[in-house]
Amino acid sequence: MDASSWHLPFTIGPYAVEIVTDRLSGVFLILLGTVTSCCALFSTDYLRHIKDKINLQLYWFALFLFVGAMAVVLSAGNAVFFLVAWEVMSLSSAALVIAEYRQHKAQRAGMIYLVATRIATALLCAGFLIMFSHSGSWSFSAWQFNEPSTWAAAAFILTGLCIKAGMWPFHIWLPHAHPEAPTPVSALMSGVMVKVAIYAAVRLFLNGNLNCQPLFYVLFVMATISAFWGVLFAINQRELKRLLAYSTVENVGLILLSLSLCLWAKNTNYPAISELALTALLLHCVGHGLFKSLLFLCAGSVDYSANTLELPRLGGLAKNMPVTTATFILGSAAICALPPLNGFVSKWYLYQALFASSMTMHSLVDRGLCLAVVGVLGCVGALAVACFAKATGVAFLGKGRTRPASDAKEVPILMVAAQLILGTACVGMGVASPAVVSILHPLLAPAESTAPSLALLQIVPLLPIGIGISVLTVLIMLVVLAKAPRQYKTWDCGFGSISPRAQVAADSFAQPITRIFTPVLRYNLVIDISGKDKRHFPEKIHVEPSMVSLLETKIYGPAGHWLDLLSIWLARLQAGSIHLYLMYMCISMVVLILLGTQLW
Amino acid sequence: MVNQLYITAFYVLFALLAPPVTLGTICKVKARLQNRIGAPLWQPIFDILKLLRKDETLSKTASWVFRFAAAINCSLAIYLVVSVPWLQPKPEWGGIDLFTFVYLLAAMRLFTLLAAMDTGSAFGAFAASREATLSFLVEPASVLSLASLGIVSNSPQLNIIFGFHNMHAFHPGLWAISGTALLLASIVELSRMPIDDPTTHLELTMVHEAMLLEASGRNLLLFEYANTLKLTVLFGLSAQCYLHLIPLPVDSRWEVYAIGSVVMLLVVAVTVAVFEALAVKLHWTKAPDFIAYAITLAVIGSILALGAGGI
Repeated sequence: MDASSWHLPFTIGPYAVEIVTDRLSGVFLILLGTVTSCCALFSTDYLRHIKDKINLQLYWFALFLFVGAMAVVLSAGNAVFFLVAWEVMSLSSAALVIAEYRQHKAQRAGMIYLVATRIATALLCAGFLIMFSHSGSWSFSAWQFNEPSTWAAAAFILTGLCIKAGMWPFHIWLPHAHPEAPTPVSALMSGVMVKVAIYAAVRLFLNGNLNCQPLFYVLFVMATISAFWGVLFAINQRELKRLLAYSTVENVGLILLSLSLCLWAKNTNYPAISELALTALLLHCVGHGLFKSLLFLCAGSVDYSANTLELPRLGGLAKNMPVTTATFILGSAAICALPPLNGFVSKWYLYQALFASSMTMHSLVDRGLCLAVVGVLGCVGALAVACFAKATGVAFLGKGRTRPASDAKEVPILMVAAQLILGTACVGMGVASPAVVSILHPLLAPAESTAPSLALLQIVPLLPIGIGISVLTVLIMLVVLAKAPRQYKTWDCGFGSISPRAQVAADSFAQPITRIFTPVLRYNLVIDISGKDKRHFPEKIHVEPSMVSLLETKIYGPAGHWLDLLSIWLARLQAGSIHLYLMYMCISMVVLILLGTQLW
Repeated sequence: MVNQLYITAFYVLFALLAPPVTLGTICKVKARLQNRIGAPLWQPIFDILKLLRKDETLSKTASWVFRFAAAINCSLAIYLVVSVPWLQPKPEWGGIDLFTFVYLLAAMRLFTLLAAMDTGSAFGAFAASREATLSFLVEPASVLSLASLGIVSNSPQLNIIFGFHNMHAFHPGLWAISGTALLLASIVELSRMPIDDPTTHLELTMVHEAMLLEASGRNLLLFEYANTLKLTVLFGLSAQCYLHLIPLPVDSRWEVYAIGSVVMLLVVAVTVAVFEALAVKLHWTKAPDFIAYAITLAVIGSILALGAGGI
């Protein structure tokens, strides 16, 4: 491979600081660079909006560390250096999540995020230590996961990375942390940071030839659940950034699905399928990085102009903020995988990989599994369309539901420019997908294979679709819709003008779908109609929908509760007496010496 | 070369004529079954001409999205018609595969939903909500039925699936089951009876028509025309599934397939009309039960396809 490595002149303990960049890290570094530049363009004006709420010096310092650490994680050549950078990345992003530290919500989000990153790092450390004792080296290139004795390490590392990536059932930190952070940070976290975890998984397990088939099945199923779960919760959100955060859970599910299929196919010797799945993975990482940060930046613009992100308080922004609306619709179309945008390209490759698996794989069960996932993905895709139709429709279309929403102004030119750049990248990566795939190609094809690459043979004709549809649309607009229409009010059944509150609400749009999943969402609708003649002339109508996330209330909530009790109990150890502490130290020394002599 | 020209001419002619005639046939048969004379077969063409002449009224609440959605919707539908082998012969430039097909339909849906929510009318937005619900329920059925056919044809390309190349792999059972699943899914996707009655005028229950409540004149024409194209494409694909039940010789002349397809499309249209005349509209909460039939058939089709089309 065309890897280049540098040994920096300083060390961490006895271990050399080694920087390795190759095509794989290059792909992710380009993504990091693009998203960071756009966030930088966006930040100057945006920060003026929130400057009273956050400490700007702390913000810039943490942001600089965060971006730098991500770049280092992407190019670290050995595990020690990787872990140090990983920790800097986690802690600086945690500091950014609690940037608005006076808010109770931010404190809570920061706490949940910190717990998640601690567990992830602990698992990574455990896995790295096992691998070090196994291979005797900290260098990633020396690690091979093809023996059963390394599978435990692989499981630890993979779990740690999946927590960071936000896969079901470890995703719960994501919808708390992403919305609380300032918008450019949300964009970086959702767009790039979760991909850093994916990068590490590809780097370790694909190059390390992991061959633990049961692990692939588990990952495959969990990733599918993740995709479905994410989009199902996304459609039920009332806050724009939370909706986007849940949609990240969905997309991470799709990426991990590609990863598991890629490893699985490689292990069972279907190189062509593995290659298709890897193409899907890389394209979706980059693609999702672009359109998700675009959507987050648009959400930031909404916050800037309308001063809220609550969908029930928005509406009607399309008239005053036409460019932001257009870029949000573009981002929505890309995330719904509509041709000819980049979201479609990656999803198409994933579908092709699954379809090829269900045609060629040896075992009937495997083929059935892959075909079933094709069906589930169809459903996920349709839900994503519903979800983003809701987000766009309620936030941007119709009439403004509050005064600030109706009076919103288009955001300053630099913020618009950041959105336009990302939007252009989404379109460009879609219609120029053959070129993008051919750039990735040396990464995809194993060096020893001479067979013609499948990924290059099958390319979806997105350029003709793009040109054809845009030419037709322009023609129709110019010829058929040339005549200016007569303006009139929306039909009001003759009752007089409609109040903006009579429009569809975020909850009511999703209600039929929510209802179908009542058992999963614990959906409950309490309707209270009171008054003397409540059938015909009710005086008061009170409707309150409620939704309980099963995972948080039944599993994580009790777990946190028990952890609390345990720590209160353990706090008794800290009695404040120096004699007691000296005794603890003595006892632990003796125990350690005994253990050491027994083990070795 | 001359043959190619004929094929293309036939294809374009049919792309223009089949949509209104199919819709006209359904209406006419339905009317006759209800003891009415009914409008002439080419009434949809008259409707198009009428809408072209009419003035357009636009809600003051609507933004640029509303008219843009109409235009892009129609162009997506036109693109779909020319790239799908919706009637033999097929598009000569290769066409699209089943996943692109499904996602082009999804693109049409997104823009229809946006247009429905753009005028601030609760009727349109709730219809959009219903459309979104129906479409997500029915999506597995349409994807799986097409994918199962793709598996026995060894390719996801629609041109190859419906290409009569592989009549040697003759699986009438599979084609019948997947074709029926596709037909049921199309009925839901187009929100026709028994999911919704396109001829009633109750905005509180309608799906497609309520979404277009605020569209008028040429704008309405674009939406309606796009829907008619979608109807023909979806019913056309089902018709081709049924055509695969007849063991046609592999190397027949293209005219045989062309005539066969036309006849089969009309047969499907008449069947749908008869079904619509007999069926009653389902209560909204019962719609998932109907969709369950489509999904079950698609799953059975997939299992058959995975077992290499046992019957």
